[in-house]
Amino acid sequence: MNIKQNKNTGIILLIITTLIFSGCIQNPFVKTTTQDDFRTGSQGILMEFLTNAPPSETYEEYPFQVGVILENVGAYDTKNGFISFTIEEDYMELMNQNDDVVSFSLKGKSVSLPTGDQLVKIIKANTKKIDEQSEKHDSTVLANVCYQYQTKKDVTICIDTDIYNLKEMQKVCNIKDITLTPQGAPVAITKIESEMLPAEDDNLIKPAFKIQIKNVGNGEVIDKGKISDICSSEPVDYKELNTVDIKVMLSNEELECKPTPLKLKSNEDEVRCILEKGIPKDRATYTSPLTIELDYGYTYSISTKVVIRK
Amino acid sequence: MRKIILVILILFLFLSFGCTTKTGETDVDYRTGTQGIVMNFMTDIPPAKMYDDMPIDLVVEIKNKGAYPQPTSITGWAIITTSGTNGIGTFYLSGFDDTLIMGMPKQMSVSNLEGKNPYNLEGGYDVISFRGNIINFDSRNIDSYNANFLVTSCYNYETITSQTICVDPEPYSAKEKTKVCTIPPSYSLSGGQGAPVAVTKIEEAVLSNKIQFKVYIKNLGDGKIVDKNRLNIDCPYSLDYTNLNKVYVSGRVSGYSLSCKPNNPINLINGEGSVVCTVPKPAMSKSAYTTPLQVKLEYGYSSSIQRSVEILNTP
Repeated sequence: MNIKQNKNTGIILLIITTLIFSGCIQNPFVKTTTQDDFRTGSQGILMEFLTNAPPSETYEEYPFQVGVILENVGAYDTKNGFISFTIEEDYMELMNQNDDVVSFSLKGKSVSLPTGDQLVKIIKANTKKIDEQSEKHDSTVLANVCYQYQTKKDVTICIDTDIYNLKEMQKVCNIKDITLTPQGAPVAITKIESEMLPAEDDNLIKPAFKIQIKNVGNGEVIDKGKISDICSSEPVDYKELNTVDIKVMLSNEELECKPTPLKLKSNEDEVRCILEKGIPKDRATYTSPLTIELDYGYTYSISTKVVIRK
Repeated sequence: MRKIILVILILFLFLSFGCTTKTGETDVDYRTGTQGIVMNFMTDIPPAKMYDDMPIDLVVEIKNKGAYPQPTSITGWAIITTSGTNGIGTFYLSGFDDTLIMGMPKQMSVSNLEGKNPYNLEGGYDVISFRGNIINFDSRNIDSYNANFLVTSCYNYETITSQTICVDPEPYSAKEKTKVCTIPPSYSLSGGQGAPVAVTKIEEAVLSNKIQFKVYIKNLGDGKIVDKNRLNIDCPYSLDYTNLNKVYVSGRVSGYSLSCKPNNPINLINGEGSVVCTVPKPAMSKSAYTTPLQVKLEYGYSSSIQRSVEILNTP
């Protein structure tokens, strides 16, 4: 009896498996993953010191290692990122002077790399002699990461060609504000407000969008062209901070955005974009994709204390 | 005995070949219901979720659940009586970004779609198919797009109402006379007449030299009434209050054509309206009798169905 039951169960499972593989029924256990599924979270590159590199305690005139692990937890591939190490030069020195700035590339999360890429950078250093009268000295090791990153989001928005609801045709959508959660990057698009404006030409409407942008990460937004300067000893101009380049496309048309580049004030600001060429009013209301791309540089630092004993 | 068997055999043969009419065939009331042309998307065509860079099909079933047009006795084809139309109607597709889904026809027409009739109690059936191609989303840097497909029908339709009424030239006469009928306060017509616009009530009044009928009209369907003369011009993209809710009324009783006020077209407010029609009163000497009052409503009609499809960039 049991053998017969097992045989029947086996046949049923075989039929279901065959149907799933043949595509006749959808496998309920498999959800299709797209790149959009990875555009979550408010971090780009994460950086941490390796355990005991540097050590919390060491001795004077003694070699030690400083190591960081970098992890791209966002959804954008970064190239030409930089890590700079800063030490108290009176008490420590790098064994290789070129190690103070190290470049890196890291792939972000994607369908083919769902966890994002990781990288470990280790540099060698030496402690120097501490003061004669001191038993110990508390020193600090600082690591600073600078990288170029991108935030991308596309949303389906409503193009309502009948601003004043004069037409009696059913509308497939209505204009509404869209509130968004962070998109797998330290700078996020938080809200999109749509508006259909009347044009000079009475036969057209101009879609306009107010896009709110916010620094949701734990670092600072920098000009994407000044990444290497920020992670070096080059002086930094305040104009190079909080600068975001914006590109907004409505279907296949690029919108005119102001101000561009955007300067974030208090870590957030908004940009207004409009399709100046307009859309004919005689079209029915329809949905269309609005694609927003933010390009910027990003930087943040971590530090740890090293006690140098005699 | 042989002759009886022969007669029975001949009768049996006639019945088997359908040479005798089946009793009750024409008694079926097909002029009921409140629907006209009904549309619905075929299940999973298109599916709720699709990928880019592939063809997309939208298949819409069209059913004529009303009683117009009727097949002619000569050809058996349903002929639209309103001039200047593209068959029974036109079906318009909108609501999506045509730079992402390319090549989809924007409109399609259906030529013949007979209404319910004694020989086809279900009404006509047809299928229209819109086919297009979803572009490669990588070329536009798009991850996903929620496409909305709105199919809007614009068609001509007619409602024909036949109500037996009582014609009594002297309803207030004090003379004791046996009458075959008396005029009720109103004739109530429920359930529709096989069309989205229906006559819901008729009130009869006998005046000094004419009989007056107040005909109540209501839109019982789920769509909009469109002026039949503007149907091919304004429907569906330019519909506004100037071309909506217009119905043309005509009718006959006792061989007389109804003379109605206000003049055609009648404007319905909130989907309802009424018209007052008159016919000359028969001679006083005539006693009360029953006769059919036929009212015809002509109009355009428009309704919509919508389907959303999430289109994803192929991973």
